[in-house]
Amino acid sequence: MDVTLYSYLAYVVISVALTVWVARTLHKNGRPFLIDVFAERADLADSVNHLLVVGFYLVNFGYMSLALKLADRVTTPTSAVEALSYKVGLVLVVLGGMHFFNLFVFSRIRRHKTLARTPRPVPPDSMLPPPLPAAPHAPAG
Amino acid sequence: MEPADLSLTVYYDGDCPLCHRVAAWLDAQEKHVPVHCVPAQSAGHRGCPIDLPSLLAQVTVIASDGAVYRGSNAWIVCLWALRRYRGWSLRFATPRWRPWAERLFATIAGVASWTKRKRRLS
Repeated sequence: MDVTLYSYLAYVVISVALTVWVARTLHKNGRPFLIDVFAERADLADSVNHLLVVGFYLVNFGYMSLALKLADRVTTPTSAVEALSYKVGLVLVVLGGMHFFNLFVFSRIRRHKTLARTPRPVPPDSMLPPPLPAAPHAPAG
Repeated sequence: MEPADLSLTVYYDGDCPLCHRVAAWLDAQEKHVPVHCVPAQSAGHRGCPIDLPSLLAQVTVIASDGAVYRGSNAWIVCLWALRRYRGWSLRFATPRWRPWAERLFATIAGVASWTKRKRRLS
């Protein structure tokens, strides 16, 4: 086996390990967030969480495979380490980007839910004494 | 917590063309809370306890729980009912934004009364 092949192997092992680590972190720490968002419906939260993690794996493994090929043949161990570091760095940046994107999705979903529960922001100018008039049901033109 | 069956009734000036358009726009929006727009001129037969001159003086919103909002508060509560504008409603209600919101609502009210005068003249 030549140096190039060794660096490919190292690249695959490191990238897979990193992706799995980030995905597991996301899976574990995203759950409480989603459970809050889906109003205590744990089954729904778990399902969305799982779907998000699957998308995360697909994008990252996809990027990893596309970025595998080294443009220049590496001949010495030093150049192999350099090439490897460059490739792993790219994978890390993509993982970071995806991670922040996921956080953004989580916080957006949560913000929508929080807004829906927010009470009226201004106090009434007055209160009608009971009995209250019935609200019209037909939309008036 | 807001009552689950909360709804809002907006009383606007039925003689004002811009008010009609705003009411139609309100009707078309997606809502968190149902909003019914009623011309103030027909408020009497709908059992509205506020008299016509005060309804015409300021936009008025009556919530189904009896809360009455007038002027800027009425605008803010209307925006609060809309899915797309609840964020804006909360912002407008803060001390920092409130003066600007009031200026905006006053401008719209000014344009509304102008369209009303213009229609009366023509």
